[in-house]
Amino acid sequence: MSTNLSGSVGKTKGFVGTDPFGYASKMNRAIPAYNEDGSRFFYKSADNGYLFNVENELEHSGTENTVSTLNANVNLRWRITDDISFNTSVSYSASETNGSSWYSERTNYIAQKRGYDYGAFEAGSKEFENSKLPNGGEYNSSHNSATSWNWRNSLDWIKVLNGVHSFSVMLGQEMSSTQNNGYKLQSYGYIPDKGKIFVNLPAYTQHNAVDPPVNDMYRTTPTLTESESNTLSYYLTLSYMYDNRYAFNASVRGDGNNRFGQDKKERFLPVWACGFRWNLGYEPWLQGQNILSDMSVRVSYGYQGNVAENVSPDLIATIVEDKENYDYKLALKDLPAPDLKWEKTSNLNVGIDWSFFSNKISGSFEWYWKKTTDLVTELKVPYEHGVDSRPVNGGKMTNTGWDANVGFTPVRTKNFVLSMGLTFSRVNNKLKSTIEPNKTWKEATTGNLNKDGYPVTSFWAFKFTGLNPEHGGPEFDTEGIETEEGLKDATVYMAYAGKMEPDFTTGLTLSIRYKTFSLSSGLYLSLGNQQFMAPPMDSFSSIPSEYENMSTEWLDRWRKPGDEKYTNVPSLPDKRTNALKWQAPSTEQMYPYAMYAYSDIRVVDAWYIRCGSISCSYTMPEKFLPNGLQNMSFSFSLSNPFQIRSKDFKGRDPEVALGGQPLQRAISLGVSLSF
Amino acid sequence: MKNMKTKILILFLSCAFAGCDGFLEEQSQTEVRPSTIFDMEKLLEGEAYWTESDAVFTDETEIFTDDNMCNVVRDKNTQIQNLKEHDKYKYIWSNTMFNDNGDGSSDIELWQTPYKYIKGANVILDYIDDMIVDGKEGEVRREHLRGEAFVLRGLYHFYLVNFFGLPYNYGDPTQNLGVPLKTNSGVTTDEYPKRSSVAECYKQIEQDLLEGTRLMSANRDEASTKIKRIDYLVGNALLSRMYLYMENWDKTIDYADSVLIAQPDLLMFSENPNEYIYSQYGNCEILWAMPSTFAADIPLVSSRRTQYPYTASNDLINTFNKDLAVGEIDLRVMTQDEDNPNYPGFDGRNVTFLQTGGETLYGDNYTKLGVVEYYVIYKGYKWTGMRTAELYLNRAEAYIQKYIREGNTSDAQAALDDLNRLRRHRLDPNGFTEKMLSDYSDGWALLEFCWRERRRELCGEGNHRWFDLRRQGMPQITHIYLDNTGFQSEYVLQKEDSRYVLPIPQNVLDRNPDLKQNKY
Repeated sequence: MSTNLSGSVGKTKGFVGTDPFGYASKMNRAIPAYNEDGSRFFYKSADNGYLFNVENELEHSGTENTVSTLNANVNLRWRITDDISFNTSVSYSASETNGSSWYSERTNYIAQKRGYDYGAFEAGSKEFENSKLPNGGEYNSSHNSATSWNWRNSLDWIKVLNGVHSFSVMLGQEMSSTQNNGYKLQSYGYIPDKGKIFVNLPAYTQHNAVDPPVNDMYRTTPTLTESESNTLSYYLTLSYMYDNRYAFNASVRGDGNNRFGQDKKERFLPVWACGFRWNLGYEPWLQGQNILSDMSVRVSYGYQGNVAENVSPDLIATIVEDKENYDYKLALKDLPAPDLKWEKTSNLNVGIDWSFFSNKISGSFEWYWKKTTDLVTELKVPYEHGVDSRPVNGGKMTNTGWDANVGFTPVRTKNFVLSMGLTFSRVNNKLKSTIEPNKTWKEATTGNLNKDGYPVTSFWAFKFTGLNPEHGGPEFDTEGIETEEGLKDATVYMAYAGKMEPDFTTGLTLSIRYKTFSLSSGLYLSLGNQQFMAPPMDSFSSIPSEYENMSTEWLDRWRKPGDEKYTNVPSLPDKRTNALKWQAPSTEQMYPYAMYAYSDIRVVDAWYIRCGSISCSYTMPEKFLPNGLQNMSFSFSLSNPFQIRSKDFKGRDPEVALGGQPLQRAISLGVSLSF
Repeated sequence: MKNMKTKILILFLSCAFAGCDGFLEEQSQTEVRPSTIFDMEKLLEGEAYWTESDAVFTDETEIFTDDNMCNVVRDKNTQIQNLKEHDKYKYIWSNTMFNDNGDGSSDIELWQTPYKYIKGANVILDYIDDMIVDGKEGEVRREHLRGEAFVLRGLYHFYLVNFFGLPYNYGDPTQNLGVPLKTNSGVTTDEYPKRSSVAECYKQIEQDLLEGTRLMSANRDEASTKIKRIDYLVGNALLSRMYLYMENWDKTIDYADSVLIAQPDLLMFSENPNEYIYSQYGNCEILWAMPSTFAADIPLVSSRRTQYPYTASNDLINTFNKDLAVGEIDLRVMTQDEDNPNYPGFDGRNVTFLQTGGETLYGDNYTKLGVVEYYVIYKGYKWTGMRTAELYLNRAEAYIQKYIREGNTSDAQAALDDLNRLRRHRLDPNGFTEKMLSDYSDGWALLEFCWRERRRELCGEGNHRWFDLRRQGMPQITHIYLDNTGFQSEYVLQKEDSRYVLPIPQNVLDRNPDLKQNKY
């Protein structure tokens, strides 16, 4: 019997609303943060016209979260007879999260709700009288508690006959339950630096109006959530091994849960699998030589069904508030889908593990094949049906791939160990779908458009042909757009740009240990996928506002006729000339700059070689330790030291060019002492 | 000892497996399986009756009519300024008005919202027979709910065919394209709905309205008297409206009669100055109270404080003066007329439709040319609906049309009786004079008067003006747009212009390749 009890409490404080990193990368550098006298510089935010300063915003708003958790578990094992034993284990965990976020009346966020800048109008003025939130800010509180317990029982029977045949049977059952309770409330009138009080709000605004509207911030109601989800499962495993060399096994498992609206007939759908393993290492004809130290071959096959979660065969309604009648009413959760079949997946795995030269070189190779039929996808349907989309059984998907890894330990002595590991994997995905999705150009650029004969995650881009000599706007080759086929399928007039998921990934790890000093590192390579760079501007139809920061690629833009011979960067968008909406034959309007952002010159090869980390550590040998110290060790690590990417990025930081944050490099140094 | 242990083990295991059923019983905080008629009623209220936020489609067409004009050049309030630019495409009848309004958005509510509620009505009709019925009362309630669902479905299709199809009385309705008819809630993903002809649409609407009204009339119960729900009187009123559009004069009169016999009252404006014509509590005139949006961005219908950039046109305001005899005062409008010192001016009277805005419009906020004060239509805070006034107007128009075709002066007199009755309730009793047949040179002049009265009474609500313009011959309308420098551009909608039929939004066409766009 064993038991375990643990708990933790953690508190985090952070920012809310304005994301500092996003702000720093998008903001115009020419805007100062401080005035000449040192006070903060405020400018009118382009979003809402009220004064804004990022430091002020961050200082007067924030969030805080406290999480406490408690976990306990008990395991019991009872040997009933020599062959049969019974295990039971119970675990329980409870966690509570208390969170709050707040904005004080000095923030730009609250200025928008109030209707004027902080301090602009005094009590008694018309603006003050008509404001919904004359004083105070906003406070959001939330409280969540989750408890869950899990109880597992299993009965094992293991028997060995004649020292050669070994049988084992395992029968098990598991029950688990999770309960969640939540409470959320948004309140107004909060003044954090004056005793954290809440001031009153006017019930009506525009009191001189004949029919003054009610202030919607006056009464706020909490949102309560409560849910309980229970699962019951069973499983059975049978296995047989002959002489430690040949092993067969089979297993089956079923789960049922209490999800609302499910089809009861589809509970406990079994998942079953069977497999075979051959340990060549134990074969008599392999003994007594040092070249092939061990090898094993394994094959397994499995089958499972998957029921779509959010769909029900019956009519399900949800209870919603009816504001006008001070009552509740029912709303449809979704139309019933009684004819929807569940997804069926079968998979086959074949693997080999091997090691040579007394384990100096070891590795494994695994090939997998997975086929899913009756995939459930959401298909967009015409608006005449009153719903946006319907789940349908949309076809088959076959995934195959392989994974290999090799490890070398060329040197292994008492004082010196050198080992290297290499992993490769390659994925092959083919999708055959019987549903014809709408092939608009927007779909084609996302990687979600599945076209027969093309790999999954293929995407297409507009064919860029150059810049217009008169105004520097981007121009494209859209031959085929006016044809009957082109109206339905955008890929007719777009160029195939590649696929978004990599073909091939490989990793290399290296570690060296000399006495008490060790060094390790890893490299990662990914190949075979392409991506669009992030669009070069936010708005496709007008010049960016003076507050926005822009990428340096715009320095090379077209400025006068003739420049189109030297550059591919178009001129700044002008509503009257180059950014004019282009009337496509299908009456779909396209913006030239949107097309530019999704054209083939914005596609980059997304391969990379990245070094994940370099770390080393050193433990002081005992003889050098002063008295009283039992152990002393140092460690150093550098994360994301370097990355090599394709030349398509032309020197820009690839992470930022793709729309993200640069990779964080971190150096850490540690000392550990124990007395 | 071993026995004991095994017994405990078996007990343990049986507990583990026995708790199954209760443990796995369905659980949800807010989800339910509708099983009773009461559930269906709540589902009808939630899914077939529209909410305030979806109510834009009930009066969005005002911006296309001659009741509307642009009177803001530039507004410091960015919300108003954006609205002006966003709605410009509708104001100038652009045939891509729903696709992209300069800010990348697309407005598909006129198509999407009615179909969403048609789905709700269809769900009720498809599943109501599966519900548990509670005795005779339950049966009555069930049939009434079924009737409500039919009438609502008919109403939504009626709106759709009048938005996106040619008017019934123009050309050949069996050839003109209407809208797809959706009469079941199921969705088949391999077939795409096709547009039915205008005649087929009206046939389905007629069938739904007749059946729904019959069911409600035969199964009247308590719940059906709620003002926010429809009853057989509303069904008859809708039938009267539909037959008017189909130019079936006799049936228009019959159905108007059937409502007005049961509820003939009109609100007397002079005696009820503080009552809004529409409210959720109803009044003697209201048959049904429908939710309406109160946002600042609804054409014409806005509060006196926020000025929607397209407000009541001079043409509409002048119509109120047209048929007044000397000394008559129309209480539906407040106008400042220095020549007539009897005009009350703005005195906070709630019942008045057309009211002046409260602020003068010079200075920082607005730069305007021409009109100094603006007028808004205000019929009730977030409520609109159906009322008996419309039926009087329907009946009067039908009688006049019959008079024109058959020449019976009794028909003309019946029409004048209705119109006079309406005017008596709307004009100040001091100075009110009844109209006589001799005031009009012929049936056409009488018809024009009736149409003007209809325009005055039903301005700014329920898409009436746009639908009436369409069936009254699609006359030429001019809109003058003021751009941000005050420069005036003129846009003309020609007589019988193809743009009297709204374009189907591109996003809708994209989803359904079998849907054909209207011809322009």
